[in-house]
Amino acid sequence: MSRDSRERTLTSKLTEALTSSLNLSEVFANAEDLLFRLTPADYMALCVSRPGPRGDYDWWVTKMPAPFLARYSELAEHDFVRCAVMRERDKVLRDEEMVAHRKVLERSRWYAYCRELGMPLEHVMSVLLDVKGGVHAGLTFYRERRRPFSRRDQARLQALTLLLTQTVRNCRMYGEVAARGQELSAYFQHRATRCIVRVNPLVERMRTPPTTALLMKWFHPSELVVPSGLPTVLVERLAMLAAMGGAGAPGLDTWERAGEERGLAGQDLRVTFSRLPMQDGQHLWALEFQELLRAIPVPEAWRQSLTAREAEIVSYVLRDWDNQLIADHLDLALATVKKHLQNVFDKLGADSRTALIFRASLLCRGALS
Amino acid sequence: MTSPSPLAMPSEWQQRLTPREAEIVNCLLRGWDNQLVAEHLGVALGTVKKHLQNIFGKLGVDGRAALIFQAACNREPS
Repeated sequence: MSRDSRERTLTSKLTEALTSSLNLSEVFANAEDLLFRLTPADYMALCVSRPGPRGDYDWWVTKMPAPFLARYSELAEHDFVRCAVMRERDKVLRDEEMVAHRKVLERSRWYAYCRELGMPLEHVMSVLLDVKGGVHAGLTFYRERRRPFSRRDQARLQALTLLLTQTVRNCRMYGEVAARGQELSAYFQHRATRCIVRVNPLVERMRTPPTTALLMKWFHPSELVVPSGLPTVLVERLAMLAAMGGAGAPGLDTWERAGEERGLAGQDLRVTFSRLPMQDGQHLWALEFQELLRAIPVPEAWRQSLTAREAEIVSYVLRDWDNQLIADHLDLALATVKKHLQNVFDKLGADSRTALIFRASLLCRGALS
Repeated sequence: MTSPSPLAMPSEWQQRLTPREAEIVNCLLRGWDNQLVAEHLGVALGTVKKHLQNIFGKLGVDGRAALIFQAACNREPS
């Protein structure tokens, strides 16, 4: 395989890895090996931070010594790499472009610090990804060998810069909306019935307004945990899912209750559990509540023009039963059901079963709570 | 899309369908027939039918009526 086609293959795998998740840790884990194969180096660091003299730094690193990370914020002002890339955002720089002369680099405090920290660095290549929203991310490759990064290395990383920036931005935005209460409601459309929960200990982070009323409707007060106000049965399910670490739990990520248990005929409650990205080392969970109708009600207006038998048959059509099932249930011939339905279509001016269901569903929307 | 669809598409469907398929489902949820969907999207009638077969398969429904029924029953709370 030629070098070009090998690079193309790696680049396309890398693109896939960078879009594989909205969790930056997962993305980095999927992408780091490919990044190293495209740009051979001894260490690599992705540092996401808010600009400022003493910003907070979030690191995703490969093979970097721990003291480097622990002491970075006190040493950052001496980092000539950081200073250089901050001046030229979104541009990949090699060490020879960061300092005026090799000797300046070798005499820099940073060069000495890295040796003290057990990283005898010789060459570096870095880019500052301008993530916007008050956040930027530095991606830096380091080599201990006296083999400089080439223009080809530089061009390759430059070509990936936009995608890398988008990746960090998407992960940050998603992580932030999941972490910050006031923005959660923007993420979770306010009409939806959802709540967001931290599991250990159980803390409900937010709840959309309709959720409380729905819980009151579907659960008896004695079923709710004090003080969270969430149903015990859902809290237990959540604890079980969290203990499984989110590893595929077929059948466990939804929970249903039949309306009859609470005197609500013809409908079910479905709760769907989904795991959100990490926050402070813990996953948040979203509980989504849906009320499901088992049947669309027969519109009152229709009953006036239909016979009792026709209305009965329509009620089964609005349960999504097919003609054979209706015939069996009413002990009628299939042709009789069809004939009844033909009369129904004529009376209501609907030209098919689909039209009937469609119109009933539009009519019932206003009538339901 | 020219008008909002009168029946809301269940949000979980959105995740299972391609954008094109979701567009077609939104047309169905307006009560449009295949010919109208084809004209709206500027594609052949056969293309719409093929898309629908894929959509029915993905959503596990056995036809247009069942799809509308599911959408109606899977209502978002108001």
